[in-house]
Amino acid sequence: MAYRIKVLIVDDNSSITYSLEKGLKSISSQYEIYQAHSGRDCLVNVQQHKPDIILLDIIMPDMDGWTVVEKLHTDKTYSNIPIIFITGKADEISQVVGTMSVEDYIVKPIDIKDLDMRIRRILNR
Amino acid sequence: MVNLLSRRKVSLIIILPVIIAIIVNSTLFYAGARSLLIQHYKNNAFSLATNLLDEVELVLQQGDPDSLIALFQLLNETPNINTVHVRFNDGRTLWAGMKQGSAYAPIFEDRFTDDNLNTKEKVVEINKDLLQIAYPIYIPDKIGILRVDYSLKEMNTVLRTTFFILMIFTLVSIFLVLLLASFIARGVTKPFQQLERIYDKYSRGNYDVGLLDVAEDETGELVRKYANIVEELGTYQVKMSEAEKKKHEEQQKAIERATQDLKEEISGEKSLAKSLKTILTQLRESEEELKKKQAALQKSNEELQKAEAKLKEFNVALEEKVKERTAELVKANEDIKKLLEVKDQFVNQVSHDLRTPLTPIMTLLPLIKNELTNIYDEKLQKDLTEMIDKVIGNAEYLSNIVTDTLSISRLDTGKVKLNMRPYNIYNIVEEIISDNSIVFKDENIKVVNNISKDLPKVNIDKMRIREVINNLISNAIKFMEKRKEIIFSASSDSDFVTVSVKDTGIGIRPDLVVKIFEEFYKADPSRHEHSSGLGLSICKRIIEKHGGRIWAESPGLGKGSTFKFTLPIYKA
Repeated sequence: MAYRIKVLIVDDNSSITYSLEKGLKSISSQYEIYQAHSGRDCLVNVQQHKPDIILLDIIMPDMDGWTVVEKLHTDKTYSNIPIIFITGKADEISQVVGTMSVEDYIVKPIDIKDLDMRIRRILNR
Repeated sequence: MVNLLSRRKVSLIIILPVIIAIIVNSTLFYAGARSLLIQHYKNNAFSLATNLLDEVELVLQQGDPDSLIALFQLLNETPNINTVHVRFNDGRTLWAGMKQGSAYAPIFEDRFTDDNLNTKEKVVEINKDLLQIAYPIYIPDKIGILRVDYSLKEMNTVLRTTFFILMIFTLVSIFLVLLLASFIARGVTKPFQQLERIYDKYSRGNYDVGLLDVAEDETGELVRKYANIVEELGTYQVKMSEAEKKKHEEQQKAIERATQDLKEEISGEKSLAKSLKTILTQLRESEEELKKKQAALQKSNEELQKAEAKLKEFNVALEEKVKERTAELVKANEDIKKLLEVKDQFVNQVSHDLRTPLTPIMTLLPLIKNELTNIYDEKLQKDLTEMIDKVIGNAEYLSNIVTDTLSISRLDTGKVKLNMRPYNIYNIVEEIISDNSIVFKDENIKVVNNISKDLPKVNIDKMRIREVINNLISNAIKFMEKRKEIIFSASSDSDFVTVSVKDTGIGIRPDLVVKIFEEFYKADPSRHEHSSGLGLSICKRIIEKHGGRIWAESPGLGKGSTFKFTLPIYKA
């Protein structure tokens, strides 16, 4: 695995993105974190930083997580980036895992150690 | 009479042919015998005559006519020869051998003239007792005629005797046949006679058939059967006649009684008239009463109908009211449902939204705690660490409440769909025990799985039931002190498997055994400060969603507790 792990965290709640960044960085110094707070913001960031993995919130005001995934999927350059959904409810999400590039999901409140484990697992594949 | 006729018939049938046969036989026999006899005697006569002729011719040839006499004398000895007579051509006659009693027949001389006795042919004349044979004597010229009188007396006697014997024989035979026939006929017709006798007796009213010597054949059987019928008829008739007699007697008695009554009635003319009057008045009175009653009945009928109509109206009105009320209730029910839904959705939303801020809180607090190690001031560091720990603890508490409340509200609103599959409960418990093995080891807890592997499979959502069992285990751990043992066991009936989780903890007060399943109830808050108090109510909801039941049993405080729940058996 590459030394630096580039993670893009997308959530309209900046406390979430902030705390996730702090948390991941405290676990490992490999993490290079970028934040986005809307769907459009996310797409821009993807183009700019080309992250290794995206943590994507589902419920966002301008564009929900699903639309973002669809939009990413249209461009071949970015359609391969693995995505972890962040959600409050597990049920509906579990069905979509495995489609497009959605690899996994994680439920709020988020356990940082758990998240780290999932990221590594996905990127090691 | 029937009898004689049939007997005659039978006899005739037997007699006639037999007699005819006998007669025919006798006649034939007699005819045959007779002709044989006649033939015999005739032959005898002829042979004697021809012998004699030869002798005579011989003698005459020798020329000694006198020696003929000697010859003729000899003939005396010969039976049946009456006379021998020779007449020479010159008219001399020579005769001898006349037996006593035999008739000389000079008449024959007239018959034999030279003309008709020229040839060597014999001419024979017969009468009843006499046969005369005449020969012309040729030596070689005809010199005369020889006549021999052969007596047929013997023959006739014999014939007569034979005839008589045969006659007697025939008669005796006929007689015997008649006898035999009559016996047979009697035997054959006896049954008929018996039948007739029985009928005679019966017709005279004598049903006692009496002992009969019955033939041992089908006719006898018939008689016996007939006798049986008659006897039965007899008994029946006797009975019938007795019954009839009785009936008759009774009828007689009844008639007598009636006559008596009538006489009394007739004699009491006045009383009859009087009683008639009273009867008439009574009838009239009762007729009026009847009419009154009829009227009353009619009236009450009408009233009943009115009441019925009213009742119907009332019923209809009641039904309407019931419909209204039901509609109201239904609406109220729906309103309540809607309110509950709204409430649940609200709880759902709130719990869900509460999770979002928890993420930064739970993530950043530990980080802050870490940074505290960089504070140089030991006392400050210690104080801050203490405070942070408290905050972290409460944040966890808050997180627990939110998670569990969300679980409950989702279970209540039916948003949780169970993924039901068949599982072996023994295996599930084994998994859970091994998952928690580290905790058990650290806390020094002895865990025993006494569940039989042969129990029927249960139809459950594995994740949820694991939740339940894990919850029960964590409760057990919280409430055990010195002796720490958790024992799993299970039993089954036709529809459910009952799982028991027994611990050696502080037990449950009997009056709280149901209350512990209430939301937010904590038996001993000091033991689980940060637990939401919703664990058992979540377990209850999960188990009840599976169609089962969960409850707690405890002998009392200090004596441990057993939590039991039922799970439906998987039925293919």
